Amino acid sequence: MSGCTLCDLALPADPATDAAVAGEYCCRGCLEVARTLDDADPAETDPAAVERETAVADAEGAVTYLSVDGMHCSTCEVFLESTATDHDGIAAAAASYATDTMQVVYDEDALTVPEVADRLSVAGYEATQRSVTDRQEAASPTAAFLVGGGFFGMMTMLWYVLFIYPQHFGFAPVVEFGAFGRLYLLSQLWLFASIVLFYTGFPLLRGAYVSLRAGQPNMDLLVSLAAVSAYLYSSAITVLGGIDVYFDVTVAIVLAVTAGNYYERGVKRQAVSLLSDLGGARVEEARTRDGDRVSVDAVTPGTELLVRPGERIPLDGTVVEGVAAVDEALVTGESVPVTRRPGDQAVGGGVVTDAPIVIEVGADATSTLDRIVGLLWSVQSARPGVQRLADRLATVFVPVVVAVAALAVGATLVTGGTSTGALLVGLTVLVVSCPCALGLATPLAVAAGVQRAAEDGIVVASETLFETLPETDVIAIDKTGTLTSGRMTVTQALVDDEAAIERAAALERYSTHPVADAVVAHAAADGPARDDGDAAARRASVASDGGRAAGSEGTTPTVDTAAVTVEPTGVVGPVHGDRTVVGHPDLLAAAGMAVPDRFEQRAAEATAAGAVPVLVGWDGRCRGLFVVADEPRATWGDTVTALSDGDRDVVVLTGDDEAAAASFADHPDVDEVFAGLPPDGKVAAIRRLRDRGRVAMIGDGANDAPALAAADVGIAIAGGASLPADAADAVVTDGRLAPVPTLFGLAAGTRRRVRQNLVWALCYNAVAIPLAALGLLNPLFAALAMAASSTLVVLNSGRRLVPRN
Amino acid sequence: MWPSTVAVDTLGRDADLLLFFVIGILAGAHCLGMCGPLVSTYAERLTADRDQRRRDRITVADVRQHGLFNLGRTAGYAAVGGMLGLVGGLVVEATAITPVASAIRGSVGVVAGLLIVAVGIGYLLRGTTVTGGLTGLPLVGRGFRLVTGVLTARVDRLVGSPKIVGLGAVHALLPCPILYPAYLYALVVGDPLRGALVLGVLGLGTIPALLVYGLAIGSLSVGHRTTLHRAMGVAFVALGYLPLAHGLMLFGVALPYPNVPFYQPL
Repeated sequence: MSGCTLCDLALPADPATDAAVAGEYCCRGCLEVARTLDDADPAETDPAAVERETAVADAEGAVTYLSVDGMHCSTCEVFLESTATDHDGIAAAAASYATDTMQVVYDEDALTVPEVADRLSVAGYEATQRSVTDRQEAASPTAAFLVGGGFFGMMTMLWYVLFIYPQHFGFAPVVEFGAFGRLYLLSQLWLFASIVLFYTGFPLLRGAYVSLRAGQPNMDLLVSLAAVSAYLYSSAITVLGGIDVYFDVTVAIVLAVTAGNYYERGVKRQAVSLLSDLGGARVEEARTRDGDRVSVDAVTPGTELLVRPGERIPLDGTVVEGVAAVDEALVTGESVPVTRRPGDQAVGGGVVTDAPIVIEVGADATSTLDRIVGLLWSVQSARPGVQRLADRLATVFVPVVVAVAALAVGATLVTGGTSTGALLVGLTVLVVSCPCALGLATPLAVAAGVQRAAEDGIVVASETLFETLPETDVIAIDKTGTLTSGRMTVTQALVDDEAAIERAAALERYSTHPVADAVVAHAAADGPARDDGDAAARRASVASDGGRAAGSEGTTPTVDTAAVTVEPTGVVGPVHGDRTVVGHPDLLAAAGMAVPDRFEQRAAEATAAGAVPVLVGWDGRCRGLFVVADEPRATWGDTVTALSDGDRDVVVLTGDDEAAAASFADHPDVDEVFAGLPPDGKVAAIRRLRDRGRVAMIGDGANDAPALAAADVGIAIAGGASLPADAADAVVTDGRLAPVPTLFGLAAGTRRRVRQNLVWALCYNAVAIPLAALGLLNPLFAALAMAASSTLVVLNSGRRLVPRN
Repeated sequence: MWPSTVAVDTLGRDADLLLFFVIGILAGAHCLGMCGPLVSTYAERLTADRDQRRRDRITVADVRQHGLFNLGRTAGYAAVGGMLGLVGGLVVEATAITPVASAIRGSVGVVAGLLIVAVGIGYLLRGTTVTGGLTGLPLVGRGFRLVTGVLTARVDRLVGSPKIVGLGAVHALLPCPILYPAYLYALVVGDPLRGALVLGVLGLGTIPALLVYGLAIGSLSVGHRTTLHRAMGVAFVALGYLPLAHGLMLFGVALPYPNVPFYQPL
């Protein structure tokens, strides 16, 4: 049912229309507004504005990346950036609070990197040089703050309950102190409140100071405004001889907000600890041709390095000796290992699988993997974090509250009040402007969301995920390793002879090529070859290095080990005395075996689809064909359908060519496939997709890391590399694709929860501020109302977010 | 007939102010739906030449501009309300000397009251705006088009400066199905000050919703807005009751009636 074209409300029986304006409207008002919108002249593009945009990209100087501890909101970014550029020698800076990183362009002659870091370690922030190997550890909040503050807070409340609240009820206080007694009591309260405010509340006050310096209000400023004005008001009242002191408000606000943040950080740290140490993908040592170990940093261009099977190539270079299959999935995203021969380029970061090779290091001695890391850091630090909802609210709230307070002061003066009276009215408005509920609203809801995600095995690294994920318009999914399992398995088999698989496996056992492993695994999982089959069951029952699982059925073919030769494209050797060849069709042709038409056709089809055909033949002809491919995950179709729910576009990105991605393009919910992307290409694709709206990216390999950072939301499927986990906003730790749609529902639920909490907190304000402005408030009422709204927020955050699967 | 405590007296005296404020608060949601896109366009132009990286952020300057816009809107409503009150007052005075003065005033009150109550019932039942004669006044529509045409041609130059107040004031001429019953009431009240005051209070009531939702939280869902429209309908029914009861009183039908100024029979 469509609604009014402008305001979406229900259309009446005869909607308002006009020839000059397209659409149907619920009333003439909406029609006129729509007409005005059409008429408004197009925005004039300001050429000066375009120039201003690329500050960091254009600045001249050396670039360094820093890890900065202590950034927690968009205001901190503004503050650090302006602090950095205020220094001579620093040309430009970009900070991102979501990733705790900063990119600084500086003059190498004037400053060293440690000096730059020093200059930026101000106002409680700590900047250090960023390195790949250390994982970002969230600073552990000191419990001392909270415990000390809690103790004094309790003392304050005890004094209040005993002495001050009863007076507002009309009861006589428990103990009559007289004039001296009042001062004695209140100065104790003042002392307790000072400790809580300036010791426990120091981070809040620091955040408020940063906010004022940066000219950008945030939640800290709002909270500090209320706490400090309560404190000042109460100190003034103590001196002036009254009993209406609001130390309880100061203490309550500081403790509640600090406790809420502490709780949220604790939940996040617990979730992040679920990310077991995924080994770093960077290579520190290399081996020279003679076998000596050298540090990678000491290698000069032209040096020859030996890389053995199972090891990672340290630097980009050209192959000079040896032929091997190199698994470059981590770096390029191609699922099938590539054969590298002398003369071919070998990519730094690829894993050599079956034979040793010697490479000559290239001209600039870099590693493609390092370049990816550099790209990742550049993307991460240049994208500012999202301004959180609570901070946006604070930006609106702070000026409004200050304005209302000023008005209240003015009105009191105008209607004949004393200046102290007017000041006190203004301070009262400031006092009630931030209930603890406002400070609790976000941390509690976010903590609930993080915990719920962790139950599903999803680690939420960046809480702004909850605010941006529900707004996603486009979902980009990497193919290899995300939609597919990333491992080579036999997907089809076509045999003339039942023994084909056993013979093939018997020979393939001698090769460590991933395709060979797949054949051996297939053989061990079930005896006779089948055309269909449950790949998962087969995979599950076999050791991945091709070792024979104990208890496999059938007789083991006898192989004369000495006579087996492992070629780049297959294995040749005698099985049961017959010369058997298994591998690429060309290998069989070279060995003089006939390949019947149907095998040849099937093999051609497989190659066209981006898979690898493995033929096995003996006694002069080919007798079996196995198609080995990167197998799609069983649930990928359902997951894609669930993800595209709600009008989202689903786009598949892959480094493989179009043929390999064809089966994915056929799915009705996949809108587009970008194939053949080079390693940097994914970032460019994401940037282009961002023109359509908000983009979420799902990926797994190291080559996905920059794209994960470039997207508005990055979700990493844990697969053994730490790089994508660092780049992403959420990590699915058990390596499955299926939980991802739940994450979307969870994020929407958490965002709704944050908004509900904020509305409850604001309702308190709606009642309390007018009362304060009219001079009708007293500490008891303020405390009761604050307690009520905080309780509501706590209870609301405790509700179940999303039903358990 | 009303229990006479201080609170009720205050309430009675300013019942219409209170009702207008409540209507304003509830109408905030409506304004969001109808004027929201227009305000978003202004906001977009405001941030168009900002740093690409930070375009999504709101700053204190944004808040100031939005604040000025809303104050301009309120001032515009108050001005129109005052004018209509003046016109209404003039009509009342012009007919004061005729023998049927009381009947005229009575019937005007009854008709206006019934119209406003009808609008309120329409909101209550449909949860959305009502079409029909009320909102189809061609003259005002054209007036709005003329003025906004002049302004929107200069939107870019206006949104960044304090002149955005002018853009806000123009919204008072918008054929808005909430403003029309309010303007009718101002006409019936017959006093420019009161007319300006009630419309000003209405405008003030819409500000919190627009500021908070527009700047911070984003749009309201259709479901929420429909509910708020129904609640607003109730407030309109209560509001329409005032001139209706007063008009009936002038015809000699006595109904329970709060102590609203300017309605006291002489």
